[in-house]
Amino acid sequence: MDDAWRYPYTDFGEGRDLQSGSVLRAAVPVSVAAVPVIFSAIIDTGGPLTVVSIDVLATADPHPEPGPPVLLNLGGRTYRAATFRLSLQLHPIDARNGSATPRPWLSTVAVIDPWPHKGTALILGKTGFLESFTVTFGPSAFAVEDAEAFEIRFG
Amino acid sequence: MVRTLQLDEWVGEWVAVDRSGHVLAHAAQLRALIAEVEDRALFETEIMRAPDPSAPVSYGFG
Repeated sequence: MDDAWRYPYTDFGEGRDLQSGSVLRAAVPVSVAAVPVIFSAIIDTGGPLTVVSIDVLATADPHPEPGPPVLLNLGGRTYRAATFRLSLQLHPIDARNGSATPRPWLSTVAVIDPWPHKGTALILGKTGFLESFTVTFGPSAFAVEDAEAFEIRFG
Repeated sequence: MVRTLQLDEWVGEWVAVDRSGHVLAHAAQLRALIAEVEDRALFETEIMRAPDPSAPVSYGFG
């Protein structure tokens, strides 16, 4: 990635009754490689592993072979989740600003079924996303760069 | 720099939102919406689920 891709935080409309202001999420557009359907994906810096809905996995062609399952606790329920190595692509929020070429990466994902999340069909965690990119969170926006950007900046 | 979406009309549904924030397709099931996006070639949209604005805010968007 030549430049950082800058993204706004997204207000999906949660918590409109809150007096403390908008609920903002760090969301990026992601697709399964070679598939033009784009999903909004939340970046969860506290999430150890990238998790996806089985319907997202189903868009992959060919369907990847399953890896070893993992046990995950989400929303008070334990899931035995199959893992896969899935080729994903990160998209810029606005192709008019910089390169419009999606950035591919190979992600380890766990597939949660039934999908418990009420917001997006992908949650990007440490394994499967934050190991592949440098993500910088600012007060009013965030940016995604190549993984190497961190070492270049901080040594 | 905030992208504010108005999805109240589709609470609980999966929606395909274009870059201007307009909902171009919606469905109760994610699989059905993916099929519609493919059939109508709505490839400039982004798929997400519309939250309930009055529901408690969750960590992890769960």
